[in-house]
Amino acid sequence: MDPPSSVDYSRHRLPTQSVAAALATQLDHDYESFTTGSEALDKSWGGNGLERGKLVEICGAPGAGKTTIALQLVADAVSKGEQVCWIDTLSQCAVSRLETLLGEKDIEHMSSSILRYQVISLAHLFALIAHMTIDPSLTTSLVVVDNISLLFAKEFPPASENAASQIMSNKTATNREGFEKQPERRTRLIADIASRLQRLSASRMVATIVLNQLATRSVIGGGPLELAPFVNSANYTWSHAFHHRVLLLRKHVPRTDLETAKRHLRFVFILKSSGIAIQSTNLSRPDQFFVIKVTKNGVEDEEHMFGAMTGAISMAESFAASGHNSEEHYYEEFSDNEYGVDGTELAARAPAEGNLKRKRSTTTIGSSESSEVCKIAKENARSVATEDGEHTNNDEDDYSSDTVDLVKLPEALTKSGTGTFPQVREAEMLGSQEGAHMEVQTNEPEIPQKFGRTIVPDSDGESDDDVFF
Amino acid sequence: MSDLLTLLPNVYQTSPSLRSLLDRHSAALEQCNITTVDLVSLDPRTICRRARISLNDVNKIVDAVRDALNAETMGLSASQSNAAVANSRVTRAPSSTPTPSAALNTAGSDSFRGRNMEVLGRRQMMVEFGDEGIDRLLNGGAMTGSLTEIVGESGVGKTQLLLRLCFSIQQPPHNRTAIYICTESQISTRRMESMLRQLKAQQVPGYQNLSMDRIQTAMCQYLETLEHIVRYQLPVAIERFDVGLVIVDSIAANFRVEDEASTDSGFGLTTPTPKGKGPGNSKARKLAKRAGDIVRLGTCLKEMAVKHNIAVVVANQVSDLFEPAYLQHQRAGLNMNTNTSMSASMPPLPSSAVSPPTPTENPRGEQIQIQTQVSNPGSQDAAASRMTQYSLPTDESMMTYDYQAKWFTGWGDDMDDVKDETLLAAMRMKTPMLGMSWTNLLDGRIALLKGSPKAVEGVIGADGEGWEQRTRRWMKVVFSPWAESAVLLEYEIWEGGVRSLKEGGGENDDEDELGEF
Repeated sequence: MDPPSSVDYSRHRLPTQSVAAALATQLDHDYESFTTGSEALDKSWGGNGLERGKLVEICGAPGAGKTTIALQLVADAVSKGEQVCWIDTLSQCAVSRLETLLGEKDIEHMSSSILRYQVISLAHLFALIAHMTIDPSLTTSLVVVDNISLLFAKEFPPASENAASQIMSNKTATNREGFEKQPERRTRLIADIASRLQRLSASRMVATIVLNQLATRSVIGGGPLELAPFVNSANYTWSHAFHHRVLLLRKHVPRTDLETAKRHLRFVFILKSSGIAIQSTNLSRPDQFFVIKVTKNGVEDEEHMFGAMTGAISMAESFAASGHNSEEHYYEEFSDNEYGVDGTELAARAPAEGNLKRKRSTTTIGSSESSEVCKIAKENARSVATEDGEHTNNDEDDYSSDTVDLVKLPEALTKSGTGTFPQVREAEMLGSQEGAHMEVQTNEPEIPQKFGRTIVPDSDGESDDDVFF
Repeated sequence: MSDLLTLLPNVYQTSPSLRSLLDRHSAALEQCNITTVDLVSLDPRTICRRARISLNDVNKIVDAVRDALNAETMGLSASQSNAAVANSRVTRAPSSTPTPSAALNTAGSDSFRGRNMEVLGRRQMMVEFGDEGIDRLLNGGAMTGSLTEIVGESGVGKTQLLLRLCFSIQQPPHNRTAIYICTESQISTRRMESMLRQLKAQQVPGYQNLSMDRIQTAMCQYLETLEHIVRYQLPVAIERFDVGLVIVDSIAANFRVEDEASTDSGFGLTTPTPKGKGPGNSKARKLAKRAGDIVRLGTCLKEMAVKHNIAVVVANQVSDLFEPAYLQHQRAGLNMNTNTSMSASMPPLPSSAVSPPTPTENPRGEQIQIQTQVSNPGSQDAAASRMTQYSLPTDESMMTYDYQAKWFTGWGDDMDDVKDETLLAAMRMKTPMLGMSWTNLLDGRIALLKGSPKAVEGVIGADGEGWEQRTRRWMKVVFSPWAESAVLLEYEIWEGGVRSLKEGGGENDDEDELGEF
């Protein structure tokens, strides 16, 4: 392998800028953030939407809504008077679609502030990014790459070593020093493009959105084919570069009385938020999600589904017990001591204004055996609920440093009637060690504060790798 | 290095200084397998060390190549400028033959600032299907600069739609010609003729100029031929005939012939990981090679589409989908619920979405029953169990191809308000050929669903041609960036091609309602 490659930018007199300076600049300028139309998604990107200087990846199968989210961000940026750069790869942005979205905001005439580049190979993209990074006249504040997978598919078609591909395969050279096989080259280029995109966003204070497709991946030991992001790397060089990573999936929805047609529903799984990996590379159990609807008119939160889907199981019992009073489920924050052994305890959760902790409730279904716990929980619930809806925060600060801020729950969603919070089935997600903690907590809910935890490892136990970069 | 001229055919004209450098060094670069993307991504010192070229020369080459690439991307290079081509298209008089436009330099005038979206908007056009309902469904038709797939069983009307496009491209505002590449059988000229007659009879301005002379066809029976045609001959033909539409009917045929063994695993076709290709795993390698062929052909078509602003529309077939294991499992559970209100003939899909229209008198009870077969039996409470299905064991399979494929293959997904049993039956257990790596390349996919003739009420066989008339067909946009997806539209085939059915059809009111955005 080669040493980490970096083009000699000095020849172009790149005005380098330290990250600290960039941050200071950002604070000074008070840059606008760009919103998607889905509050839940915006919150997962750090509160008010996508900030400048951030690098975001949106993965999804065809038709999952990647482009719609990107277009919505573009429309928002344009409406805020910013210049946008849209990089199409081997496809073309549907302008009629963009005009619809711009028309929603009454800004059709501003589509001239969107620059569009068509790159038809990976080499073109590298050259373009190198140019944009050093171009002093660049005033773009949002860059979209739609999508990066096609370039890699073109450069590295499957089985490209076997087939006589257009990329030359000089057999006599295989023993030469520095000869690079296709998988190695692919790995290097993935790492390279990621770091360059990161550099572009950081040095030019540009919010960059990279759209990525899904590819099938056979599982060791057989079983059904799994899906994974198309452009990805086993050694995290890809995922490290991104501040936020989001996966869009579809899901069967039971027949409901939803007003929204099911075909509009998309399930957003947060793989990485504010630099913290949620799912790491193991996507086999993506649990943390919310629901958006993607329509012709853009992206919106699906409020009812948000409650239903994210509430998971223990919420169900909460609803059953509490009779679905929406106002009582006004929580935006919960942490260790507020574990929902059963849903009723949820009523005791601490109130809004903080961030959601990256803590997950147990999902012991039908926990009739822990009825004592339930009683205690219910008492807690009532006592807190009687405080005029002004819930108190139970010693949250004692261990908040141990927990990881994840997402702020959108207010609209928590008010939406079903009472909501992202919540995940715990036992399967955690290693045995974590499971032990859960055990203690479920049995002794009075003293759960002692078990404030550090970052919850992902199921593959490698979360630390991905936490900071 | 040899791919430089593939990527930038005009590189020597745009940057003459490169020629002498490459004359001297391309052999060295080639020997150590430095491709164009390596040139612009590797550290020049690495290239210098590997290829044993002086750093100075490497820097010169890298700079020149990067500038040439950027010139093309940003529309500086007059010879390659897509915008210039677009301008010439817009300004051309309807019936004129292609002439080099004088407006070459105007498009690239905002130098190095890219081309803005409005330029694209002006050149991006929709090739209509000539039917109001269908064009509304597709938000105009097939978009130029994109690769669209029409997928469905044989006899469902794919070719009808494709032929209609061939005439649409001749109408204003396109005024271009079409190339029709057949892989399975010769183009149906008789069909085309009757369609043309019908169109000319419609007295629509512009239709009188339609001609079969302006549709070029080519037959190609082997995969190698197809790839060769697409890569080398089509670009020439496109220039010569002013082509605005390329059709491949069908894309899967050659792949199917090539590898009979792998057709039955159509849905399992995969982009293999490098690790998966162990020695001796010949089937996997075959599949991988096939996937590679598909991707190469597909990227070639896409590149052609964006470079020349052409609508590429391909037909694809479906293969039967074998039931994935988890579905079988769930059906076993479903069958145990004997008192479930679902009829025995219902599809074994893991969702209540396919429940028949009748049992609405007890929707909750039905849901619970469905839920019990997929969720943890520990839950007792009705509400709890109702919620359980949101987070049920199928989550484990959520990231599998089989689970997610339903929404991008066009078969097996949840549809609201689907009440027609024939349609429900048509919507399951099929999958387009060529798998995920092909799907990823598509911009749009249109699925054509054919109801089973047996399920149609009425006498079959008594009137020899009766069932052919009664086979109901639906069209659905599975995904596309320019049209809303998953809306169903019923259509029928007539002499003039394909037309959508109006609400006069009786019970299709719900579909027609859905047809509106």
